[in-house]
Amino acid sequence: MTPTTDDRATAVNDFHAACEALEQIHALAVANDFPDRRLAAHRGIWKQRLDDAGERYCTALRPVSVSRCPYTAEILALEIDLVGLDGPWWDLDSPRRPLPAALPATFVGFDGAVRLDDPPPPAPFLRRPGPQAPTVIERLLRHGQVTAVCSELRIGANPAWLIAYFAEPGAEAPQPPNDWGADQYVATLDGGMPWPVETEPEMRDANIAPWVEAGLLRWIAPGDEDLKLRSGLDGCPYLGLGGDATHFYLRPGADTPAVRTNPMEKQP
Amino acid sequence: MTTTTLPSRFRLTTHEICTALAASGVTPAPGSGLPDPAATTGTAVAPSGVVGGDALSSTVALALRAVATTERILRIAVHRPGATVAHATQMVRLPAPDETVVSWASTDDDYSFVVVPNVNLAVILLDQVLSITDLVAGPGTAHLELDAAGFAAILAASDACQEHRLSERLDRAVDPTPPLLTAARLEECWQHGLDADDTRWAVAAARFTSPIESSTLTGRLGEGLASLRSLGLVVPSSGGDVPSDPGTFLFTVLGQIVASASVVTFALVEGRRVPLAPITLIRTATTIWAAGWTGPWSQATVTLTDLTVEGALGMLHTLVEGLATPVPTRQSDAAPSTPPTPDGIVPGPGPGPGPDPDPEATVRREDLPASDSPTATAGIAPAGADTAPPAAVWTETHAVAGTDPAPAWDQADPNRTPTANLQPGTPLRLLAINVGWAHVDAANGWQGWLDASRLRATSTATAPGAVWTETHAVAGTDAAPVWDRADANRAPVADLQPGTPLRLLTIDVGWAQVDAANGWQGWLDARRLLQR
Repeated sequence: MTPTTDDRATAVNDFHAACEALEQIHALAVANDFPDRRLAAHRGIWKQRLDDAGERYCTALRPVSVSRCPYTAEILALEIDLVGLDGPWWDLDSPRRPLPAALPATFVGFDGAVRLDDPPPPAPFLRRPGPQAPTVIERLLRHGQVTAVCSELRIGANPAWLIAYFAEPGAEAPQPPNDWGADQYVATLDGGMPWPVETEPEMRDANIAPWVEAGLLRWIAPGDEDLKLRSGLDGCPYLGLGGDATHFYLRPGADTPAVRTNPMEKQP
Repeated sequence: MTTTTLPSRFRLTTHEICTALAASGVTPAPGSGLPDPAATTGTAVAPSGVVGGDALSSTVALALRAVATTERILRIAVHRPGATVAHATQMVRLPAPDETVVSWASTDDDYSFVVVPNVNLAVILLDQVLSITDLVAGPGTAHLELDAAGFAAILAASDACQEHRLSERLDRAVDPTPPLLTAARLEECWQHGLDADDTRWAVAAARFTSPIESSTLTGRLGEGLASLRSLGLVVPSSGGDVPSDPGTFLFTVLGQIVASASVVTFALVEGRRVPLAPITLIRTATTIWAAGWTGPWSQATVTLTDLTVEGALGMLHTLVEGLATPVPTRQSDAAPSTPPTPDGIVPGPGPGPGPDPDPEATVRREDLPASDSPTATAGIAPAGADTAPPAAVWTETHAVAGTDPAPAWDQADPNRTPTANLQPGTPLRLLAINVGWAHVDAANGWQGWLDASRLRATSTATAPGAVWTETHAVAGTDAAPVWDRADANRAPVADLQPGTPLRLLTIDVGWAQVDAANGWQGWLDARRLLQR
């Protein structure tokens, strides 16, 4: 059965409830308010409920065609939670995401940005949806055999931009960047087992015009369902978008973003 | 998004509570269990540390106000082997969206309060009382529907089997024999349990935690034994019956009782506390059983369900969550066609104007929570004019379908005047189906009949129990067509002969899902089902 928006909403609510219950149980344990054995039993039950809700949530996410490889023209489809920033897909420390589906062989990784036109919904975990305007990772574009593609999405009512990185077929691919909104990327081990790899923050450039001009950042027009790749500064809608180009964090339970500068980022 | 707050605990004497209530201008509602402040005046409560200056601390004031005025109270009275007195805990919840729950227990002159910020922590408190997570529990698959005599027979058979087992062990029997169960033997065990206080034994445990007067079942154990036979829990043998495999399992685990409890939600309706959902909870070394009671008393039926740990905690969560539900007002006799209350439910017979209480009702008054007594113990339903028929472990299974109100009757008779109109979406539980009539009840205990085609299923089909029981048969004289799905545009897959025994699983807008003893399942027109 195809999951519905309601399935996603129910799973997110259940996930939040389980996170909060685990937080409460932790507080009780710290305060020594109940016998450890009883708290351990309830912790186990709520952890199971958390995992169940996380699985239902992942099942409710459907692949969305978001970009196209500039080398092979293959379409990139990712299971991203576009409904809202309250889903555990956006949990910075322990993101709940479906196992990677079939990806273009040239795909290196993806990053993104969200402009908060609407107040973000609360969630009981730390989130870092990105800067509020597209940026590029210099290390990847200086690789020489990597090209990025910028496309526009909407997350809830907020405009968002996905920057996907692709390497030339046959080229030695660079180490992937952290996945969008996460402190890790998912590598595929020998035998196909996906495995999260944690990496350090890296230098980003919010001034994307030179990269577009150099042909290293291509773009797809907003709303273009054919995902046609375009180049050059002429008509590029992603220049001069304004917004804060530094990463912002959404604290657990907070309704407003706490913008914090990443020292590794260049300022626009 | 809830905040992380630790429980607040405090203890007050009767005198301190009276003074605190008087200071805050709160008068306890009937049946709140708090003392009457009019009985005490003038002495400060400062020594208890719950006042600062002239004001009560906000937590104490909040807790007392909630306990004194909240419409719904959950009362749990736990009996443990070796203890001569039940441990009673009561709970109220502040109206949503506030999730604060106040729990209190009283002993002689002391009241212990715990204020917790949300329902999840309240469930941990209840677990502390009921020992849900202390031990493993069963798979949660057994589900038995039986009358009170059948329930009594299960308890007596459990005690008989336990006695037999202990006796064989003492005799060092190397070749155990099955216990022989006869009506006389069950009556003997029943009487023994009624005369004893040791709640390790099933009859004694249930005697303290069931909402009906156990002695009224004396003499009905033969009838109960027949119920056990029809449920497949016992099988005929030479000179009597012996437990079947499912029966052996059930009687054995009920011989290992760790705790037993009565769990009852009381609602304040027109100035009286009305029990809504009496449940007898039995915690054994390896299983958890919930017996939900459905009235009226003279024909009480019991739904006995084997719960997993998760299921038991879920049930407690539902009960605590439900404490925030507003209590609907009852339909007045003077206006029989009054539309249902905001939640779409018209309460059934209860306090105030309405049908007379069941004259056969017999309830143990000594176990009642005396309305203003600080030493209230078990949450047992009061009798007579104070009572409303109890509901079992109430779970929504259906809702009123369509966009128009559905008329409901007190009997399955269209020639009578409907007694209520149920709003579309009103949550209901299906109790029975008979030739197109659906017998339903609501969370507040109201019961009635309506056209089965006005019900839509809101939960999945009844989980098949361990023991298949015929609930219906094909009505009429013609074969009834059946479908593999509730879709008349498909071709029927079979014809069922009149009288074919079936078990009703669910009902959905006039379609009935049934199964047969051999495991076959299908759908047919609900009007073709005759209740057994």
